Amino acid sequence: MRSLALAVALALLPRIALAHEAFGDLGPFYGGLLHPVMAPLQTLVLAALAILLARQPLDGVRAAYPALVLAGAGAIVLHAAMPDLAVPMRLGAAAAVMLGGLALWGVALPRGVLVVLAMTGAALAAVSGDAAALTRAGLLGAVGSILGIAAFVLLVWGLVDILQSRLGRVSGAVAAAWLIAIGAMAAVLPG
Amino acid sequence: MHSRSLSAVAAVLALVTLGAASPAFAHSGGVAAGGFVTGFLHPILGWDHVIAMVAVGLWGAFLGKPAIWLLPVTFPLVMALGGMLGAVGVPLPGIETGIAASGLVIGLAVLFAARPPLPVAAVIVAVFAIFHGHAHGTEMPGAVSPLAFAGGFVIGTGLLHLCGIGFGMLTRSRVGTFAVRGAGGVIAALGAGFLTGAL
Repeated sequence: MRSLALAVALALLPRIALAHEAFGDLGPFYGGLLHPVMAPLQTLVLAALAILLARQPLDGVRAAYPALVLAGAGAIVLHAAMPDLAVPMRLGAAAAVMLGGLALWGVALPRGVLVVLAMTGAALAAVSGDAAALTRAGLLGAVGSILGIAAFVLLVWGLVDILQSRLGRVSGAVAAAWLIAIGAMAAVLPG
Repeated sequence: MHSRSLSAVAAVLALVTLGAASPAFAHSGGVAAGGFVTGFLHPILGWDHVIAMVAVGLWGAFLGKPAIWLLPVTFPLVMALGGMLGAVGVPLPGIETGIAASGLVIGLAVLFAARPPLPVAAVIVAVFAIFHGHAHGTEMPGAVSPLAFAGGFVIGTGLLHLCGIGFGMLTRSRVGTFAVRGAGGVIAALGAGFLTGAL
């Protein structure tokens, strides 16, 4: 009888077992670091930038990549100062489609143009994330976001570059076509 | 006797627990699971989509370069047009018929090793892409994260193409060509099944 009572009591106890509570308990730094893979619009714009870089000669990428990281960092600081700044879904999607179109075209762009595109795209992506608060936690989140943007672009660029070296440049064109398709559909979404 | 009552208690415990417990989530995915994963699985869990996407890859392999890569580039771009129409609610008649017909037509093209001029092949694939895109796009606004859903189904569709292309590479050998054409026949038969409502 005591066992039965225990059984009933135990049966009433279960709740959802969360082995990992998604990203809620990671803290501001890791939250910021993972932001590029958790915020779809930011992911889209950064992936477009990375694929564009992978379709460009290495000389241009050497100049564009540091500029991209600096622009992303600057935009995150600016966003903290002006938290009302927001990137509408359609603007971000249109930017991704344009960058994807240039990537699909595959023509080597002048270095200056590539740097400007990389900086603009990174700034858009950075502002499409959450604004960092002017606190210690906000600072940690901002540093995480800057590193996250830098790492994400580097990772996707490297992946597409490896695919292109193994399967030919057309694999980069296929990736660009996928990205344009996603961006075009996002452009008709409200917001 | 003691062991029998223990078993009974254990059985009651198990039954009541099963009846009362909430599902255990090892990972609570939140937005990502409600968008990307759902979109990714949308083409993969729909057999009418799967056979058509694989058939596109197989046909591309049959047609050789540059079609082998042109079709997988063309398809998502045109599919996006269909997806945009579906997302904004523009109706398109005969969606299911178009999707089923895509499996039948492209499957037959693989079965008979049809090699039309590249623009003709691209137009055939593009027309069917609109139907597939519309079917996915209609469900996009209702997803938890529509943008992640779009990303999921474009990548899922693209990977199915790559599966078809990978299988289609077997056409480099005689036996492989036979296997690929046979797969085209199976796809056409399944497409006919979907078209007639038998499946």
